[in-house]
Amino acid sequence: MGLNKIPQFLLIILLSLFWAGICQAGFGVSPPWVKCEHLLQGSHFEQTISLVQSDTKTDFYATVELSSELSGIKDWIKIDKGMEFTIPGGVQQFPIKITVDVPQNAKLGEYGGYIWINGKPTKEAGTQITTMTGGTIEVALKVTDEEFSDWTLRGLGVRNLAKDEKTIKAYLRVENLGNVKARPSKVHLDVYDDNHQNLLSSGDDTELDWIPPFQTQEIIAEFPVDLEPTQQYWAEIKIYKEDELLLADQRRFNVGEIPTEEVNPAQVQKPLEESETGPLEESEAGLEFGFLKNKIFLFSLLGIVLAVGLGFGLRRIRKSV
Amino acid sequence: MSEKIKNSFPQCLVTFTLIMISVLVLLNATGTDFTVPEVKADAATSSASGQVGNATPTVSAVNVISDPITLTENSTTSITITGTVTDINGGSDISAATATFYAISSGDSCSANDNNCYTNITCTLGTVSGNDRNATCTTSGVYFHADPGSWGAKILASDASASSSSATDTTPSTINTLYALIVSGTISYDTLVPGQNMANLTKEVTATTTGNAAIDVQIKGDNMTYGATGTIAIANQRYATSSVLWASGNIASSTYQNFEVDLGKPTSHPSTSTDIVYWGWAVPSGTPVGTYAGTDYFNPVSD
Repeated sequence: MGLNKIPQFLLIILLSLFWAGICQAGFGVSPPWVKCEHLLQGSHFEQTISLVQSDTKTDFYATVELSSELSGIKDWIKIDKGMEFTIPGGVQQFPIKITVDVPQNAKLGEYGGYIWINGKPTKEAGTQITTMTGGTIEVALKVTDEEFSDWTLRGLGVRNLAKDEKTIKAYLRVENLGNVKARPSKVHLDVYDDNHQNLLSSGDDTELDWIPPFQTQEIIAEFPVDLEPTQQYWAEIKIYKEDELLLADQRRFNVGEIPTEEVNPAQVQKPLEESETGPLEESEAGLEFGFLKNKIFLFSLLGIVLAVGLGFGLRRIRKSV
Repeated sequence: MSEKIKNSFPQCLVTFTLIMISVLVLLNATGTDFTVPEVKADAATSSASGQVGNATPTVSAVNVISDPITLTENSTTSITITGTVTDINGGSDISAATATFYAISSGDSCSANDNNCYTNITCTLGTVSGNDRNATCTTSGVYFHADPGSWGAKILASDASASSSSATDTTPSTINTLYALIVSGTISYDTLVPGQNMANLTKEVTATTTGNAAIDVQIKGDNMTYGATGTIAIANQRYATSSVLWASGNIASSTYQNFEVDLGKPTSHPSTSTDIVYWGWAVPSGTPVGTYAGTDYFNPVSD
């Protein structure tokens, strides 16, 4: 009996090996480059790159290799995870940070090459050649002596104020794309009431923190205000780059605690397309019933008043008679 | 008789009053709120009434949570969009919201397309806070082949009266370029005697791009080894995009070489952007008998 089972057992093992051989995991790199054409001597530049894979059943043992073209600048380049690391099984996106530190005496010019992420192969039984997929990161750097200033807004928010707080804080997430420090030239704020009709307060902040070159940071624009607590407000924000209006947007904020109310999920309608009429008919029916009940109430009240009035009237007539 | 009626009249009045009070108590118990009905005032009556008009909800602070966005090769990536919905009829009047996630180049009124436009993303409405409710909208998944570049988000919100309005993200997000590749198949070469090579490159591996951009590949390989001493140098393997003669193949190297395969950007899933790479080998004379094994490496690179 044991002997009869052996061929089936071997077949299963062989099929497993065959399947392991043909099911190769994919691998990707995003973004697949470290590019900067505005580096100055002494600049510090960072790029976060994600190594991605959809099939994460096993660990991925990675080794990093620099192409020969980068040999002249290999000391400028650092990888936070080192030249060998493991992407644990189950991780689909594995970020690595590549930093470039340009020496003060670096020659002006363009530098390029590749950083390769290689998978460490595990020998597959029964196969001659194992195929491995890895990633290529293109490196394209330019060292210049020209200053370049530019930035972009990545996010904007206004947080709620505590009851006695007297400063509105607008949070700006700014990416400095240039090789010199940068900041918005001005942030203007108008505060309106809950109905967005009455202007309550207005102000500018022109003294924002500087963002270092090539960095993305959150900075805060501050505006002194004196607003009624336990209210909701509108903030209209305008952000300027030099004299140019870069962005105008609006945000809601509260001062102090605003009472909250849980809504029964059953009351929440489905997405718009599916629910424009149904729930409305239901509420109309409810309204009609309420109206009927109110009519009964009014007639009852009228009846009592008449009865009491009539009673007093009759008593007075009886007394006078 | 008339005296009898006169005497019983106060009792009737008391009974009538008690009935009326009972009706009132009953109505109160059934939860009727004694307010002026929410209907148009009847011109023939003098009761104080008015109609509260419906205000259209407004949407603000639309934002995509992650920026930049990294997609996962050959898979989907969940994206969350948030926003604030305000209705001056009260936050509880806000009834629904949906979102659109779109490539800026396609516009916010785009038609659903997995490359550049994800529509009808259902939003969850949060707790009512005064006139506000937060909307949180999560896509079931953005596909790996979604176009790289600038993407915006729009939230459309409606109230119980089906009035609706929308707003878009004023600080769009970026979907990063993703170069990705799946290579399927292993290579088991024909058995050769030393000094021979395969006449044609016939061993196939399939390369499929699973990112969001067109790619070529870079290829390198390790020497093949057998036991402690047997080695066949990598240059004894060759590859090409068709089953060419041995002499026409690209000679494999231990350093990466660019190889033109022109795999276009995938536009659907699963990816159909594939190419076959054909391989062959030679066995130098003097090679000891054995089963040699090695590894060939494939990396995606810009087209």
